[in-house]
Amino acid sequence: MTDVTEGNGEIFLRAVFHGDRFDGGRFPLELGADLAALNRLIVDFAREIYLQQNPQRKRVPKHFATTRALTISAIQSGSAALLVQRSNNELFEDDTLESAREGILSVMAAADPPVMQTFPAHFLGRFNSIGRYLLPNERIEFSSPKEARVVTYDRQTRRRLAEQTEGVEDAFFAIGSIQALNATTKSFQIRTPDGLIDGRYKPELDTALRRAIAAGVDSGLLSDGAAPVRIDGTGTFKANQLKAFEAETVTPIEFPTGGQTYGSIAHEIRSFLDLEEGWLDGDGNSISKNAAEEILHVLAGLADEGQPAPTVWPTTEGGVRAEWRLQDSETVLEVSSAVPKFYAFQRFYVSSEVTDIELNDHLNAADVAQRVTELLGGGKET
Amino acid sequence: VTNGHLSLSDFDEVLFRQVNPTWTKSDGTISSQAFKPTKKDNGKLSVDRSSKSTAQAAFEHHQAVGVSCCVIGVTVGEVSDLGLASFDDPTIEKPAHAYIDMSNKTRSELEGLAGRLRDLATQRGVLHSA
Repeated sequence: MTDVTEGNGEIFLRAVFHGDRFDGGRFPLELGADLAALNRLIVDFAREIYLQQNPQRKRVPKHFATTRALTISAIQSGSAALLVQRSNNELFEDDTLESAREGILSVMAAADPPVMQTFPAHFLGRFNSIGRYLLPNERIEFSSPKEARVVTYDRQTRRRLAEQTEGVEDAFFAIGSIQALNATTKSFQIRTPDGLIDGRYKPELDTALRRAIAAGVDSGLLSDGAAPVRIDGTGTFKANQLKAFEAETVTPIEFPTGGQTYGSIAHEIRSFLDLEEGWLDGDGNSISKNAAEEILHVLAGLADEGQPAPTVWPTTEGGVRAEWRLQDSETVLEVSSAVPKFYAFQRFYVSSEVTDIELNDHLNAADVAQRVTELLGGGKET
Repeated sequence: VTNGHLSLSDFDEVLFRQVNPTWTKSDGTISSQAFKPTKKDNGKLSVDRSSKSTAQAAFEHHQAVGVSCCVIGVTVGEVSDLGLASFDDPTIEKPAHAYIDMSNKTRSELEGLAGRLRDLATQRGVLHSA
């Protein structure tokens, strides 16, 4: 892509957006809100710097903000690289805007408390609005003409900064089984591979949540009998910890049609627990309940990713194994009670190319589901 | 001859493998685990030789010592093509017994070999069932 617009004059800030959505210089419009929030932060911070530099003044000059407006002067090739300029350079001579820019970039880059202490705490919450629409694998690289540095800003940066002052809201989802439902307080509890999560829900979700519990009578996870669901909503985080969860949608977990249902697979895995020691002609350990639970959590994540249903088997070591025989390859996921807990293997029929991954035990079910999804050929389109 | 066992050389000879019912599904799917030696096998995958037995006889003989739902098989040549050797290993109780040597293989190698043996046997079809 060629440059859309060529600006004149000194570049105030360069923002390079990285991620698939920005390939070929494309720029999603929703990210305009992030830039507007950054513009406001720079100008407001500049206003505060101006008053600090001019203690005799009680107010900033008239039209302080409008004369310091920032504009996008060009979108360059490759990943969307935005060149930002001051729109009215000739109208003011102070360098407050540049100072604000440098202060903000320093805070974005900072991990150490001393830098953070020089930045007004009441502005930290503003980062909540910058990067709100970035996806997990996207980032912005900021650079200014003054300092030869590149500052990376992504969702983690945003959360780290915004959390310094107040809880930051972000899209959040949980996959698991409903453990409790309180219609009076409109609260629920969901069991996930990472533990129990409490949340609140809107009245219209009452039926869907009750249905998820009822569906578990015949199938579902082993420990509680509830069918797995995916709950999407808004999480409030502080210090990287989920503090509140407001559910917005409830979706039953299910494999794409054509194969076995999640419930029937869960039922089958549950039956493995009946195998007694020595079940394979004197060989074969009894099946670990933990392994069965773990693989059901992984399979819930894979179903959510739109992956096909596997064939499941017990293993002689007391674990559970899932096999996917696809057109060009076979993929295996084995969960054992021993370390490493997860083992994935893929073999292509024609080339005999083999990939095997011993997944460390610190990986949770969601991570394993993601790794297996990659092996199976990528996740569903979002 | 290796370790006192005669290496099988008739590449057309079929080696019968008993399938535990746990390794099959109602739609005929067979897990590759049917071709993975267990710990007690010590890397030696038990089979029976078609030159000394039939699929039915091997199946019936196996019922005395274990459980099987069906018999599938691969040839000595197919085993050899995978870089494996097969050896005659007769006993008084099991005169047709032989084994495919899968010792000293990594987990990944075992997975790949078991999958390919299962594929070959599945293509050949069930040779005998209960």
